[in-house]
Amino acid sequence: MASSRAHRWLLVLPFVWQVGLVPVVNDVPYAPLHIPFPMVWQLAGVVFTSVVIAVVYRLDKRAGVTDEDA
Amino acid sequence: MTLTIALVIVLGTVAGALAFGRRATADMTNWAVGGRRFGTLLFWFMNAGEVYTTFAVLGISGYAWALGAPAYLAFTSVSLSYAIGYWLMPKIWRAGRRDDLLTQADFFASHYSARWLGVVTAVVGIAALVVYVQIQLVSLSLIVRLTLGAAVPPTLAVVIGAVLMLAFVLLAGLRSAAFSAGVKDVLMVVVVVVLAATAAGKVGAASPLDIFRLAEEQHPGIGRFPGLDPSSPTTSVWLMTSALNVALGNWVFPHLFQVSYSAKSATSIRRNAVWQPLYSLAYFFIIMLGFAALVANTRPEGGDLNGALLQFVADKFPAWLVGLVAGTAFLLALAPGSVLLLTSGSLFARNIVRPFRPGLSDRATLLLSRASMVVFAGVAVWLTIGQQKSLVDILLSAYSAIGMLAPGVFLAFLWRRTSAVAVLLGIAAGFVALLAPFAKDFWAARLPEWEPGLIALAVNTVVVVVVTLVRPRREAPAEEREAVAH
Repeated sequence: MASSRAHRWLLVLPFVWQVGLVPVVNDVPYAPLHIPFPMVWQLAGVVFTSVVIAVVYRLDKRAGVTDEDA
Repeated sequence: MTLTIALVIVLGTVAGALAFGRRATADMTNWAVGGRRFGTLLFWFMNAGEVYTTFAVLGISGYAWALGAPAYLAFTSVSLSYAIGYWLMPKIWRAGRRDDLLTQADFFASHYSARWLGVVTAVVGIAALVVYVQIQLVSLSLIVRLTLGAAVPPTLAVVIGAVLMLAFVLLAGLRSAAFSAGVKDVLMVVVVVVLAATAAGKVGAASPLDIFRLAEEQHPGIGRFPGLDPSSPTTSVWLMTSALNVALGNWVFPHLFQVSYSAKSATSIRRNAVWQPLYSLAYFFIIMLGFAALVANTRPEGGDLNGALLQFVADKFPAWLVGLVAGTAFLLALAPGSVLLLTSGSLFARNIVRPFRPGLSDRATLLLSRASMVVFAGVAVWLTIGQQKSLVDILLSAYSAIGMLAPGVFLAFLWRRTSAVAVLLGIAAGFVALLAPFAKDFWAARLPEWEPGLIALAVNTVVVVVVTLVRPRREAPAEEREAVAH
């Protein structure tokens, strides 16, 4: 059972994007459409998180996780 | 005009909510966890309802107005909470169904087979909830004064806000709150989009996005950390530690714990987690409005940053739109506020009084929980009066307090050896690290940019782990029952 849930570690990726890389993007001067880059980064991070959770949801289904499984 | 429109919105929603929740107040399970029947749609609104409170609109726009970039905390709060919630919420949901749990303290008492731990965690939970209620009260008082006029003294406005909130919650339970949450979420999107689309013209910007250019021009550095004020402690490290503290504490709030119970199935929880983060993109418009208020040189009364957006709207927009904003803001405070009070009431009656008075009937429990809500609202009023902290700062304090219960929740699912005594000692050590003056001074001197709540959470976790390791191994009955059931 445990091995079939290994894909859930993907849920760490949003933390890498939205927390880990904050200092790295803070000094990027590029502002697409006038929006400050650190803000663009967080907006993209929200979308990225949804995509990651959706992928994990798919992989869960494939692994046979049901309505009652936690 | 403003008052009429605000009244129509609030009363219309209350009437609809009552009709919707009419049959649902009969017993405690219905009243507190919606009969564990919320499918995907209702569950979505229940979740969104808890995320989009007045904190989101008034707090975040105020932070953007006063500080700039630190408002980006909003973008991390929802998505990271759901990255954790995807894994955690179904586990809470299953425990709730299996052991017939209604509150968070029920979980602690049942999982750790220790009734006294239920009492302790209920007290901590109520304390954090009362701090959270303050956010809604601060906002309600601002909105009351916007609609009734600045002649209403702030103290009276706070009391009026509390009375409205109590009236709202006493009339119905969780189903009604979910209905009002749905109405307010739709209204909030409408209001935010209308304001954001027209704000540019009000502040002399060529387009909505031009607001960002003007803000950067007038206040260089506003869009990056630490924000407007180069000497502010709100650096990248502040964002990183605060974001983690919020994500780890989120599902540990007793009301959000109960939201996990209310789902129909684990799948509806997971499906919701996929979509819910996208909703937080709406913060983009809220931050834009905060920047617009800054560019327009908005001066809220007494420099109160929580009032920046309302002041901006009152200064620049027509009365009908001010009424729409006020009506929506009322719902933004009332719907989540009622859930907070409802949760504190259930915790008090079930987990603090009942262990000492086991014979209490269901009816008496319900009455007692309703009476206790009046007291908690009173405490929140008392805490609110006379203070002018940012809504974001109040929120972070609430998260720091509730974070003390996080190790006990996470370790319950990660490490079955964790014991009740270890959880208790962890909570005690965590609160010392959070509240003791010597500890506060130490963190402030050594780690000024770190969110103190996260440090206290780390201290707490280390204590729980160490105590569990040094104590002799013990059987864990709750886990054994699970093994039999599956």
